[in-house]
Amino acid sequence: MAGSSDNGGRSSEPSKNGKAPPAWRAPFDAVERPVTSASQSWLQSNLFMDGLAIAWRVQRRVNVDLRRGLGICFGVLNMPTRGDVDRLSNQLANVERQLRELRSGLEASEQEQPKPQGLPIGTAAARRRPASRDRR
Amino acid sequence: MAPSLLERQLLRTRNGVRYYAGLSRPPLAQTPRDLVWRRDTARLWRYRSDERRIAPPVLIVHSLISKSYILDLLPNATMIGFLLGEGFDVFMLDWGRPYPADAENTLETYFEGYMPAAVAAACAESGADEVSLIGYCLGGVLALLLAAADPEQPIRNLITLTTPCDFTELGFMSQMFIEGRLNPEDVIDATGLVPARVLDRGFQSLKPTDAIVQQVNVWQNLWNDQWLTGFVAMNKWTRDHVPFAGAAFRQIVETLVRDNTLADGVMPTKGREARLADIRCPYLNVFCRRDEIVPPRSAAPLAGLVGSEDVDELCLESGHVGLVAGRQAGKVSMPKIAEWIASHSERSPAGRSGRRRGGGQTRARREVSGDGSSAGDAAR
Repeated sequence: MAGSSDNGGRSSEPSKNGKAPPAWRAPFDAVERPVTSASQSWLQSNLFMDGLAIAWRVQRRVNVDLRRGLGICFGVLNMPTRGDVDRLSNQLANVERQLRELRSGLEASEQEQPKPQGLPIGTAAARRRPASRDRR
Repeated sequence: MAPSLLERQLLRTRNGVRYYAGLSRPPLAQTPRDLVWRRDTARLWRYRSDERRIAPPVLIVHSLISKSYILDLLPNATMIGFLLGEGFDVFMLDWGRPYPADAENTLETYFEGYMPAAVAAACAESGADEVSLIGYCLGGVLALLLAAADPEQPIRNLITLTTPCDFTELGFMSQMFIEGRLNPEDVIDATGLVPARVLDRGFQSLKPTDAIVQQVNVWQNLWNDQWLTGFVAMNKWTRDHVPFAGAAFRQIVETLVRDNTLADGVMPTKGREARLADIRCPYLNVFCRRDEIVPPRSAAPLAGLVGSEDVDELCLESGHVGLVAGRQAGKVSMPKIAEWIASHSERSPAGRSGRRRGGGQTRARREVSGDGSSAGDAAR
């Protein structure tokens, strides 16, 4: 899980070279710490969580209605809507899932057959490709 | 030598222009690696090293909801680089970015489908019969489930890093679902995935003032190139989520969060139950005192639930991310974890590891020489 960064902790701590934090930092921390603590407590309160859940559902409902309305307008203009894109995306996903099933079925049947002599595909010795850095 | 006040202001100006113009982009995940195995979006990487001295290899299972480059963030903040330097043969199982085709993936898809194949591929690639399995965060849950559901898996050691067990203790995000304020369907989109921005918003909500504090920290440390590089890299990662497979999310909410089954040591899977008590390999549970995502009270019960006789726990003074990529990771956290794994492994003189072991029941009860459990003992 990712989340709020905790890289290095509070900066009011002395830095690596032993330097004390700047003078302006202390008043900021003096305000920030209780505010953060209070906001985290507020976040955990039932009132906040109930409010957030209601806001979330209202926002979602408004989005759905808005999208439906826009879809009707786009339909009149004979233009594709977000719903069309989602439907297409889901159909492609279904095809992809079927392909995966086929592939795993093929792999399973290949494994059942006797292996030919030689190195299995994928071992370091079989690969022997020139060293290249991974590029993301 | 620390820069003078004038030098500092000049550096601050230069770095400020770069940072606020978005030109400060440190190269991430620089450790060379090779793709060993792939299936769908899952990838198994092996990191290059000429110093593989410890067997069996280490296989790291990353979380499902974030990108794996956090484990190899920067050359001076890399968990993977550290393990390589210690002589481990390191593999990493990266789940990649799920697409709508992955929307129906359940937890079983991962721990019964992909993971056994990845473990087998790691064994085949390294020539070893077993692996030391490390799971980070939700990857730890998957590692536990793999080891529990199939005790015959060739797992020599099991290590979980900041892995939730009691999901009722996860705070704000789990509370939103426990009492039905939100249902999984409320956050799953039309393609069947939980969008990355939903997860991002959830995590940002954990600490509402974080954005302001971060900007103040930037202003304070803008002159410091090293600090800024680390900050930019970490900040990029914290906002760089991936979508979550809807079916797995539904399963997590219903089974792990609402029923909180893992806290009882049980996870119902298709047709049977995975019981943590069935885990017999040596186990190390690592959690962090300052972790706001998986607090210690959520992770700590794991040690008491697994069935292994050799169980250690390590409570570190760190945060959820700082454990693997923070300033102290390479100095405090990782050395202790590496020490535990090394003490539960074997040292080979040089070159490729992978000593053959006989029989299928490779539970790998090693004879610990020296203070093998020092890491765990120190934390207790």
